[in-house]
Amino acid sequence: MIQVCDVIARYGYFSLKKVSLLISAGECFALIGPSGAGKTLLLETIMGVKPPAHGRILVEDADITTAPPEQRRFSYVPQDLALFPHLSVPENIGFGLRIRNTPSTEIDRRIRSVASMLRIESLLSRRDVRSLSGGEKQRVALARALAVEPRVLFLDEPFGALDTSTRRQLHVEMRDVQRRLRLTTVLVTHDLDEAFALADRIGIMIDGGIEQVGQPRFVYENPANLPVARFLLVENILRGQCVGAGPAEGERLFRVGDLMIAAAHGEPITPDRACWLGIRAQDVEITPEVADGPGSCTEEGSPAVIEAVRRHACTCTVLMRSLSDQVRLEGQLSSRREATMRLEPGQRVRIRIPSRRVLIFPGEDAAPVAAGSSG
Amino acid sequence: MVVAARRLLGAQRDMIRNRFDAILLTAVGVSTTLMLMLILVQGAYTGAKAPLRALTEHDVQHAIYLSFITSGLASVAAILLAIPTGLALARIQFPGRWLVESLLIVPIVMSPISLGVALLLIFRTEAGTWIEDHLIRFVFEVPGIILAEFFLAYAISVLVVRSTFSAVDARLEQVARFLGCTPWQAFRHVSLPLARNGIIAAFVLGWVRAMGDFGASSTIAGAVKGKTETMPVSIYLNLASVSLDRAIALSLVLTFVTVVVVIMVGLLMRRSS
Repeated sequence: MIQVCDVIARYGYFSLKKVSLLISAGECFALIGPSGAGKTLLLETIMGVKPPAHGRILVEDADITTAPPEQRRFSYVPQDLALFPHLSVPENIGFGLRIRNTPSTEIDRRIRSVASMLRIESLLSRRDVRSLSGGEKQRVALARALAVEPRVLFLDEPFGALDTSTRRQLHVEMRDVQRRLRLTTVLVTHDLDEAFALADRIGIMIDGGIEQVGQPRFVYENPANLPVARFLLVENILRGQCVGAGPAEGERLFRVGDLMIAAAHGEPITPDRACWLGIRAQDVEITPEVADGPGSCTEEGSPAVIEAVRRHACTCTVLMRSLSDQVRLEGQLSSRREATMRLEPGQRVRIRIPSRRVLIFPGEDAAPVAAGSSG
Repeated sequence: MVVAARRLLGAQRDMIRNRFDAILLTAVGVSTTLMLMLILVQGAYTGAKAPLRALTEHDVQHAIYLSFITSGLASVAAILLAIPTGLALARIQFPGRWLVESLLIVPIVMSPISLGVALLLIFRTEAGTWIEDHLIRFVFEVPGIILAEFFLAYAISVLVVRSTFSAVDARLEQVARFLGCTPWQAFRHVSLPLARNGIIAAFVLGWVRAMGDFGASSTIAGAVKGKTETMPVSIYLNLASVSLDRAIALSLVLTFVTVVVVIMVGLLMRRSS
């Protein structure tokens, strides 16, 4: 178990904001956030690369705040993997064991054991690590980190340089290895898919502070505040005003420009109160039928006009505006569904937003967004 | 025939893509010719026999011996100090680092005679006089040559060592620390092997610079025949007494060593990259 207690660390003018964190033994914890949020600084502070200006770090209840890195029994796989170019593949994997004066027979046994676990036995005859492919280098770096049997494994965006297919395959393998060894793992990434594929819990870091910690699905469904929602790619962030009760029990109705949007969860909102509403593009239901006149996004749907259609491999993003041009919304469909609907710019559609899918951020004093326009 | 000519023209076009490339390659050609001329003209002037005969003379052999000994000791001392200094400059951020870096390489651009004068003045101070009286004599003595050559060798060694360590990814050492290395072990097992070729290059460049020095070492140690007579000093003295064969023999030895070293450094750097 790792305990980070009120840690402040500085790098130039940037500083962590008294970070506290608890990472359980055997769990995979992903620290995610935008670039420049301080993830790597926090990681390096926990690892002992940078001393904290304030606070303590405990591992298994022992204070390691001032312990040098080599005494922490951590392993580290950095973004560039940092394989030793002057050593062969087995020498790289066994490096940590040789430094600890492990008998050579034991070194050989452990090299073969981790190589077998990561299915890289065929690479043990390779002399030049620079000639390995990206995925092979990744596995060798992981093998080197695991060979020393660390109590915590730190991964700093280690899959960033790989192609999508190799990355996904390694996510599965990494998850499997981590679970099999019950190895406490701290992963730093800005890739949401990676964090969701690997982590038991995620911590979202923004501007040097941890804004939210929880299970990936929970955090995704319930972002704690507007910056977290923005980071979690909530595409539509709209400024709305509560106008009273919604059509169903427990719902509140919000006016967003010329649209009326019902929201079903969140704390009670008093009428006339302004709030930020978050709506994921995938939650905006689009139907091609058009009926004139205003409506509610919760019932028969509101009319809107398509501004642009962006087609991707599996999905299609539809940019729309309300009839009076006060609100802009982004919707998302599967490519197959869009192919049947044949959406085109200028076409009128009807949009519907399920009330339970609307996120409410009351009292957020966020950067101003033009009323009724998408964030 | 026409096809072959077209192919030849096509190959030429591929090699020299435009007129600008042609101008650049002309500059390379002119400068290479100048350098080759410098090397070859010495042998062509007297032929091989006279210099080879001069090499068997005791005075000439002593000058070669003294040069190798003094420059060897100076460059070994220089590289031993340049390695930790270069590593510190490459790895540790401290205020005024750029100024320190500039100061350390001053002997490269400083006039060698000015360096010799500065060293002479050091031994006119109270501390310098005490060192001369109680420890070791530098002025007009062989240790003075070693001291002057040390400064010249050190400046070039530290410059090369610093850029060598800068090219070694510091993250490799960081990863080594997590694998159980102390800072010394991380240096010994990771950075040092990776910087090996650069360090060898720094040593030999410093050595050649030290061996070729005339101004600094002759200012502090004098040009005393048979005593502080290194190869460059001997060349000067032989030219002054119109003993051209001896001067050219020594000059050829110096040039030969320099050319071999430059080629060796080039090969090392190619292997490093």
